[in-house]
Amino acid sequence: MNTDEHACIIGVLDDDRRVLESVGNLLESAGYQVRLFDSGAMFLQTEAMNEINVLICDIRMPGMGGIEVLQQVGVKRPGLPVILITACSDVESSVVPQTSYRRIFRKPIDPTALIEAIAAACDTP
Amino acid sequence: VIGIDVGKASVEGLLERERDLSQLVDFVPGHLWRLTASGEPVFFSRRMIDFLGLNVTDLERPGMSRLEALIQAIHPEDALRFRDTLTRCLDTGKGFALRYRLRRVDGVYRWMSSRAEPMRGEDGRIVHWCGLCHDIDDQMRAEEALRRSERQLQQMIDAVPVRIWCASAIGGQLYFNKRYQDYLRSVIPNFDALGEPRIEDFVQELVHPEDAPVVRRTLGECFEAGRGGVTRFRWREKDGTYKWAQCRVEPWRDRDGTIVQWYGVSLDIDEEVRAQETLRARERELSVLVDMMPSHLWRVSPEGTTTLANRHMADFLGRDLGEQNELQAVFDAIFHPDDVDAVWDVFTRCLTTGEPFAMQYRLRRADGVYRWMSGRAEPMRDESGRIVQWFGLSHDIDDQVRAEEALRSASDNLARAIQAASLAELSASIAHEVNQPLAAVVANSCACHRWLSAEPPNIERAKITAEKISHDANSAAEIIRRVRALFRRAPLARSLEDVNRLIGEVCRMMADEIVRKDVRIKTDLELNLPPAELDRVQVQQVLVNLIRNGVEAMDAVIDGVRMLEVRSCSDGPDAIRVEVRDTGTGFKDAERAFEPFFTTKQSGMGLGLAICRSIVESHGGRLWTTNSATRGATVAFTLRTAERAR
Repeated sequence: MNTDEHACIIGVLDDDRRVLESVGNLLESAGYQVRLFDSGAMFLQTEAMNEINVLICDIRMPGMGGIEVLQQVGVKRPGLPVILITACSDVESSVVPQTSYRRIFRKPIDPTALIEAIAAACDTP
Repeated sequence: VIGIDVGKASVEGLLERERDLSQLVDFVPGHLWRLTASGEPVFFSRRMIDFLGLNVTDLERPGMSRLEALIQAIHPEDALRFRDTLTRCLDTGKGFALRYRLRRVDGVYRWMSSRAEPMRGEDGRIVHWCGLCHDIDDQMRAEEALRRSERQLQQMIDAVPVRIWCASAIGGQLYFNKRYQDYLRSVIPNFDALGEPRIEDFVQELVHPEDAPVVRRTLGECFEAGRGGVTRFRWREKDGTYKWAQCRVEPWRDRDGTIVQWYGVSLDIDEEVRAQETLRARERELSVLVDMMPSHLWRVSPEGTTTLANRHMADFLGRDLGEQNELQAVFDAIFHPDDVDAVWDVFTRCLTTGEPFAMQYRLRRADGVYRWMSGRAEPMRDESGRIVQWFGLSHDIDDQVRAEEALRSASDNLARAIQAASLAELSASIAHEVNQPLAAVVANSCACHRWLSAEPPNIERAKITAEKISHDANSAAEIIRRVRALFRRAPLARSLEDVNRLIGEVCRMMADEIVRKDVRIKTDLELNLPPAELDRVQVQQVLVNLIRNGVEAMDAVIDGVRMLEVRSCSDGPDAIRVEVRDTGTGFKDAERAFEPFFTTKQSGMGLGLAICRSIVESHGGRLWTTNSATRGATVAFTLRTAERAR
């Protein structure tokens, strides 16, 4: 583990606490700092938006959905790498706003692939 | 000699003249009589003697003058007047003239008209009185009859409960009958002082100002054209109120055609007019009521011709049924194609048997949207029991039907989940529910491995993570258990249901979907099946699934028949069998179809038939599939009838 990895802060946004905490636990075990949020509205209100290096975001959430969160993130943090996770099989990638870095994972997430994706995102200039 | 001859000749001449005169007197068609200056009868002519049956000499009575004796023959009612008149004439010497009744020899009194004049000597003194009297009895009786008839007429005119007037000419003096006069006196304080009022005065005085112009015009036209006419108006009564009257005017013409009199009769028609007004107002009110009633009101003749449809109905249908009232045409135009045959059958049967009609059906609104209606009709019969008309009411229950459906589903979250989603969607949602804890388990497993593999190993975090893994795995198992329980619920929601009705509801619910897939649906339902005790939402869901499966199985059928048949029948003494038969490709592996997650379809998780079988088995029935000998598949299931289920 290099120090760069440890410098990376990952924001995780999922309405299901089990998923949220398990992904957070996984990222911590890989040496990252995490900021966990269970609603899009809460995430957008905090300072975390400005300090995170990567955002992992669930698409289907009650209230503000993942797509809507991404639209706002695109305004406030253009260029923030985003990894989307979904339990559904029918997400059209065209509806997801373009960001500089984007991956979509289906639940259950392959943990190794996720960690590799995070590492790649953190390396993105 | 000569003198004697002359004298003799003159005597003979005198005798002859006397005979002539005497004959003349006797033949005059009247009674001639003579009285002395004091009034004593001294001569009666032959006709008078014959009439009275006595001569003047027969009037000699002891202690009574001849005149008094004659007066005995005069009617007692006239005797006094006769005596007085005659006595006065005798005293004054003025001519006597009187009518009286005189007794004939047979005792019958007859009216006589008698006149007498005094005959005076050269000195001017009265020598005697000569009288002539003739029989006027027939004339008197005719006059009497006339007077009586006039009196009766007058009484009648005064007695009839109408007001009558007549006038000899327009603007001339008016005559009013008694009732009219009484009325006029009661309304016009100084009526008797008016002198000779004209019609115009009365119009001015009595007729309601609003009606006066019409009355004037009508009367004016009548008088001008010389013809009769009728006018209606209100006139003032003594209490100041106005009452409706009808006046009819007619001219009466003489033989030359000249108008001699105008007659007018005024009838009190107040009650009739008010009754009519009340009736009209009531009719208007009813008509408004019928039109404004927020339901469809209609009337059909016993032959089935539409004779009335209220405005609400006409607006809804966008057509006036009065224009097109042939029943068959009306039916085809207004009922949903799926309902029209059933409604036609029931309604025509009702028309024949007279049974009340009650049905639910869909009616086509003007904009083409079909809405559920609850229709009822009952026959109206006359006294002999014959049906005169059918009266029908149908009201829009579409919202209610939909609300009921919504309510039914909202009453149970579980049921709503099943109702709202197709099984494919339900499967997806179950999968999502299971997926969440599984995702956590997978992520935590990896994390746990990493905590243990770290240098140094982070045992504490690894322990916590392992606990989470255990917890989430149990959570996933719990969801699976809940899903199974979902379809094996205790029979809380069970009720007695008519399976045929349930099939009908599902077919209607899916009608659009089936039509869209270009599939024909046919039902063959056994009548009078006993009710089954079941959870209607679950069994509905089974039917929805089997029908949808059948429809989807026919997607591949391009050239053949796309026919879905739903049958119901008894299955032994205590069960009902329902079959859904399609003409699709059939099952390639009938038993595997029931394995969860086995599917040949692109969409869906393959839970459909497995869940259907769970539901049916939880109801104590069986569910199985067979392939038809020719083509397609049949899925059948049984449900226990109420007696056994209980």
